Amino acid sequence: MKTDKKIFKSASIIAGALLTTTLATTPALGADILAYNDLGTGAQVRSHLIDVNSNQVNGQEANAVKFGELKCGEGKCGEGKCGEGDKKKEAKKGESTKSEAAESKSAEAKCGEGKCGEGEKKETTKKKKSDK
Amino acid sequence: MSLREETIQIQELLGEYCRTGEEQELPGVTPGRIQHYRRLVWNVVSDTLATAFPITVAALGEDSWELLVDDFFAAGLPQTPQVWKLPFEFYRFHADRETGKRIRKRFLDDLLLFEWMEIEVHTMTDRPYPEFVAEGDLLHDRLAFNPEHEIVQLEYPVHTHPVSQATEMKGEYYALLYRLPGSGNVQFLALSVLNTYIFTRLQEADVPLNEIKGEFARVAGIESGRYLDDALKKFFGDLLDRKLILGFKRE
Repeated sequence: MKTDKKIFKSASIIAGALLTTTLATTPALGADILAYNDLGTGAQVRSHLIDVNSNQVNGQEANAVKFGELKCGEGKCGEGKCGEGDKKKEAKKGESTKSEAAESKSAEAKCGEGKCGEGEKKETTKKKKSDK
Repeated sequence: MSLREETIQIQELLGEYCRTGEEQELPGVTPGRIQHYRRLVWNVVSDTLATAFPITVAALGEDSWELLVDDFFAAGLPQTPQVWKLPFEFYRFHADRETGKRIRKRFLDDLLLFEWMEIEVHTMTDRPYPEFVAEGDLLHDRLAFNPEHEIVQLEYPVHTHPVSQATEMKGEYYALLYRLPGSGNVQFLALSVLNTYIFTRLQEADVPLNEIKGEFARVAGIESGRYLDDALKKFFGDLLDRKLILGFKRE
């Protein structure tokens, strides 16, 4: 399946990709040839990427995506907005930052069935909304 | 004890109503109250997904994001009884339907997968560690790799760039996620194709670096010699410091 192929690569498959990279045709010299980027912890990665992506979305959202082909555009979502009113009202109560939202994901993932983290999850969503 | 056929039917109708919002003939329902079931279920699903994919939410904007959630909620028919696995089904749903292509956000699959993988690596079943010793020689001893890692191949560098830039940089990118021994925190590395090849090939071969470095040089089209030795020692020395390599295998 397409999605599974993205997760694991054997070295022989990756070797094929090497042939198409510029590295193979214009080799660099020195110890930097195997340089890589340490992106940090999950929280650091999220915090950074949320920040850079939020900056570009702010002010552009109205033109961002045309969802005509999605079911929602066909009225399938029906009452989908019913929870939104409550959520948005609650959102205004939040006061914290994106980095706090970024911190919470890993802790969340451990809680399995989701019940234990539910309170925190809602908090996170509220906080994020309040940033906008 | 199995449920009566009628009960199963009612449960399925209630489930369908909760997902789609389309009114169903449900016996015993108090008028004006049923929508609260949908609201509550929607809130759990919506919050679970927004928590799992905060970068995607930021990249799309909340209005666009909610349309994706609506679409999944109404048509996705989640199969997992475990809430924490729901984000993976969300990713699969949109990847299979090529939503990113349809809405002209080609980075979408990569970004959803990248975000899901953190959850997967963080929560995955413990993998047995190899026996190892702390002291050894990077070039002449076999290395004991931390088995709790995954490598994700991405078409767009959404792990290092804002999506507006990543979209213009289609190529072959690799992100390595691993779980730190002890704390269980997930760490991220952005690897080049060459790094990824050397890392995976050395694990597969399970031989000392010195025995296989000639192959690395040939595949990469670089000279085998002091430069390569230095580069390999620096790369694997770093990975040792970062605990992606645990130590050296006992001979």
